[in-house]
Amino acid sequence: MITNAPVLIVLIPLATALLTPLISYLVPKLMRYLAPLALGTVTLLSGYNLYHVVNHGAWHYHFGGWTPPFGIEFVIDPLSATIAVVVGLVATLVIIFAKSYLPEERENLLKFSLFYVLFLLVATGIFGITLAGDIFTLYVFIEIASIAAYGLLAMGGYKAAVSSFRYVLIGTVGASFYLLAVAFIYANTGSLNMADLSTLLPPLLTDRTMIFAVAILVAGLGIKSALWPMHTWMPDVYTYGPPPAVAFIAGTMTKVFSYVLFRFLYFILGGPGNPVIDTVLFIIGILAAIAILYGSIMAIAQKDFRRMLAYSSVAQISYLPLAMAIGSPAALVGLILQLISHAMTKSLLYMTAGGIDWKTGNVNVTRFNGLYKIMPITCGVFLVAACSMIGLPPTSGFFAKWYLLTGSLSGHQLLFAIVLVISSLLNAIYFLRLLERFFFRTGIDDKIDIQIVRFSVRELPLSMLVPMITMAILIVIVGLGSGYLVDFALQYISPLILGGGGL
Amino acid sequence: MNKKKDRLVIVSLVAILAILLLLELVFITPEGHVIWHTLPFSHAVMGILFSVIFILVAKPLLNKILMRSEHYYKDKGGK
Amino acid sequence: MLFHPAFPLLVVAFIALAVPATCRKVISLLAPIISAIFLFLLDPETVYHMSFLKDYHLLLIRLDDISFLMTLVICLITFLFFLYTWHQTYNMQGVAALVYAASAIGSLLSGDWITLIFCWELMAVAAVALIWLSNRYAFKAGFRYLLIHFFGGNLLLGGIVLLIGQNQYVIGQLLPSQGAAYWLVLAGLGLSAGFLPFHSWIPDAYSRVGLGASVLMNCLTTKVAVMTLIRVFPGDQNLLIMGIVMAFWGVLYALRENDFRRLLCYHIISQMGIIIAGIGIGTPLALNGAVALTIGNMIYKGLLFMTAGAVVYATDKTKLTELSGLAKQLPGVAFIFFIAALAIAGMPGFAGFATKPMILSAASAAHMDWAELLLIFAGLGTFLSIPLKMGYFLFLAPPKEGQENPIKRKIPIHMYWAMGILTVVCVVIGLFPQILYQMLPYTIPYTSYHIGHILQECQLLVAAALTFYLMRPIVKPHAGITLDFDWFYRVPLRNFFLGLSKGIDKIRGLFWDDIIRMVKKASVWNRNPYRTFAGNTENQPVSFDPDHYRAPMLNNVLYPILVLMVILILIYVTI
Repeated sequence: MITNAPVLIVLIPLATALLTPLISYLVPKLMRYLAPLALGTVTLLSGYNLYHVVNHGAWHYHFGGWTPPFGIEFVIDPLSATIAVVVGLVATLVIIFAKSYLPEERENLLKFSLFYVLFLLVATGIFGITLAGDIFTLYVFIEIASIAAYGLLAMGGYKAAVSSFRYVLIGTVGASFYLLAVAFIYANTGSLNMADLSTLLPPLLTDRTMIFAVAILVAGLGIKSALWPMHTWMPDVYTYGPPPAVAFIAGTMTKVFSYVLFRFLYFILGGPGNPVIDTVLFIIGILAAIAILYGSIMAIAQKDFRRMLAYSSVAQISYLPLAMAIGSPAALVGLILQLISHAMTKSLLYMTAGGIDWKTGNVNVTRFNGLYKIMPITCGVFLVAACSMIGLPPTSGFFAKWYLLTGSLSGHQLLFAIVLVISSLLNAIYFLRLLERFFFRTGIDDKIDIQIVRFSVRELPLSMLVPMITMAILIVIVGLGSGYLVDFALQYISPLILGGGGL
Repeated sequence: MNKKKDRLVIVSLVAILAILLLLELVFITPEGHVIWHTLPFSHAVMGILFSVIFILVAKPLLNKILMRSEHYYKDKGGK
Repeated sequence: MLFHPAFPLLVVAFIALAVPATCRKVISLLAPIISAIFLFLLDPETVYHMSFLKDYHLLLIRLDDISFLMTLVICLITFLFFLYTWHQTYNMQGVAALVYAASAIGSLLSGDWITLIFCWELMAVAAVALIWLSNRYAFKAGFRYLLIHFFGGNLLLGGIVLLIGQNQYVIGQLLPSQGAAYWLVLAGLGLSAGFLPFHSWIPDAYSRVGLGASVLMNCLTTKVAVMTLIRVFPGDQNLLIMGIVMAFWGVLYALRENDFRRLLCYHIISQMGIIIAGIGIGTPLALNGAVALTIGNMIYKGLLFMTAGAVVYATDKTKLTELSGLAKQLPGVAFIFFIAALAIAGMPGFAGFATKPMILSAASAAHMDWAELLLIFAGLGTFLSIPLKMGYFLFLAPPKEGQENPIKRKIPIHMYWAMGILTVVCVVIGLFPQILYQMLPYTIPYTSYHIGHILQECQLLVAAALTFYLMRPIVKPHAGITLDFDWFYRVPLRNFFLGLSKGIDKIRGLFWDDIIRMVKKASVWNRNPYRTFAGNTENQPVSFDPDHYRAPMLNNVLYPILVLMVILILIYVTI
């Protein structure tokens, strides 16, 4: 069974998703534990994959014994294994967190089980995206993840449904662009396998159809990964969706699409040597810089906590295209670290938002004064997350930004370095503002206006507190152990380093 | 009552000291390169001399320079 | 690595935050035992490193004889701390104590400078927390402790940064030829060890803190500092001089003190002086003596603090002018006190005789006879201040006429247990010093039980006792404090800073309204960025309203196409 670990990572959530409605009808109590168990198993399997790959080299898992380029394969290398582990961790912790959000009564069974089904399907899709070895398999999993996400995010009420519908429209456009690009590539080369294409494509890049394919690919993936100006779906969807769903999707989905873009630009299409790729990287770099500034400025203006975090996501996600545009080895290491760090931090922040919403029924920032008295652990955990977002050691966010900065300085991209620094300062503004409100009960308005809507023995039910605390501890551990992580990630990126040299 | 007790203590201490000095004469062969290791009764003399110096310096001398009332720092505003 | 002796203490400190009260006490009591077990599980001469930034390795554990011995005694004292304070409700003082002990062990075991400074700062923070938590009235003393230790920590950090710049990562000997790094590290370490003129925090903090806490604090910061001094500056002449000055200073002030807890604290400075003088002499015998005296101090000074704490607990009084003749009412405490006091004075047969004379012998063997004489002189002061002054006036002197019974409450049995265990250790070391000698870093045959030695020491002490008894009226405790170097930062420095901040506040007052006006304007700009940038401000909301600005669906499809166009155009242009 262990030899089939790669496919099990996708199969287990899928099977659980299909079984869930049946089990929730027969034995509802079991339902709450099945999904966390499935996702936990998947995380352990990804961990095993990572261990295996680090010791034995990249793992090409061929489906059904058919060798590529005829058969489909999953490719696991240290990079994708690391990301799979991170996604697994986030998914497990968030699904445990979600337990308290779902209604207890038998009458609402449909909504109850639907949440788990869709969550598991999104998880399936994202794992598949991480591990896929062919570009069409990638499309299949993109669609699985996206469609399930559309449904999942619509479960938060009337406004959520409308925002999700807008997301459907834009997202479908993006997926279609991607499919078109796949079609062009297939027509030109006759192969769909990524490893194969990495040898076949780079020479073809002067061809007009290929150029169009690259452009439309970037546009499509840019839509899905919320690159400015195609990010407009994101704030609404993240604000109105149900908090656990948003915690998972904000934490992983957009990043995974950036990761796919990274794979394409650097591994399949050959990296920054080619003039076409250079231009593309230049454009997404500019767009990312604008997005970072735009997102941070807009985040300062928001009164709704979740919308503030959404705009903050617009900014933070754009660090990844920025790192791709910079291209130096340190920046690429920073890309991976930012991916991991932000996945954990953003999901933690949305879990905090969900917790506050659950307890006080309020997400308006002006009414957060003195929350520390009522919810001390939540505020403490928020402190760790805020430190990671601003970039303070020893949290993982610091190390990510450190590598990005050194990368941009060693790559002589002064503009990007300045953008990074300004964004850290802007981040500090709105996070420290919130910290002040939480801990010191003053703001422009000095009154305490919190009501407790739901009673629980501790400040939040244990199933909500434990994932948050675990995530906070993980952020610090990843930060402290980022040295070891860099050794993992670096060994895979180093073949890419053009012009040699260390960090 | 007190005076009697005082006298008892002083006498017993002097007696112990005398015994120790006698023992020194009997048992110790002076060795060492400095005067206080070789001179007989040197440590007793040092004991008396140094204690006197200590006590006189610690109390009357430093009292004049450094003693202040217990509330000194409180009066000055700090604690 | 897993067996780092500081881990159990840290883990239990975290757990204690979440567990109910009695459980906290029990696990806090167990934590030092587990630490000691971990210590024994480490192989001797272990070195464990962990890579930190590029090129740098943290030496998290570097086990040698000194750190082994010290860690063992720290575990013992932490255990006794929790036993001693069993009766108190466990406010977070216990957590602070555990973290403090853990960071002290971490500092002792660290092999490189960065781990050292990290654990050092953690010690300072935990100590301040301990001071503030153990006694409500110690707030300002804790604050002064914080100032001094962060100042010292920064000096040490500055020195360490210079050393790392010179690529010296591992803790090793420093010489004056290394310039600023040498002086900064010396100052930083010395401040924690009690160098003059920055020693006043010892009497200030240790005498005001809670009863059990002073036992623990005595054996942590200063001792860790001095053991680090042994590794870094053995044989340094500056240390010899400073040590002798400290030995005298401490004892002079101790003789003058009225508050007996402060007396013990000043005496710590004196003992530290002797230890530092021993380090300054630098021969293997002297270094052995320094380590032995440190261990001895942790044991018998800790015991003295325990007895003093017991007296304070029973009578609520800390001044010698208000108490006397307690031997009748607290016979057990008096007995234990005298064992510890005679140990510290160096009476043959007690623990001190096994430790202090090593340094004196080393001084004379190294032909530093003036140092030996001065140390004998200073050592006499020890005898005068503790067994004689404190012991006589507190326990033996007849009570004043008309004084009612000062005992307010009975001393609980667990305090006696704690004192008893430590007394047994003290007596064992006194009678069988070879047990201690085996564990010392340098194997040098040394025996203190040598008839000439014993006789000379006894003569010294008995003569001093005689003189003391004759000069009793002069030595009688008087109510009043003695000014020390802390005057400088408690009066003029404080007034300076107060004046400075008042002046700056006045300046701020001149500009404040303008600044508030500017901030208000900026926040308007910021509340709805679209409005500010759009220019046309009429029908736009003041606060950002998402529904107002949500673009129609077409835009969302248009933008990707726009991006596509831009990419294609730019590519065609560049090819």
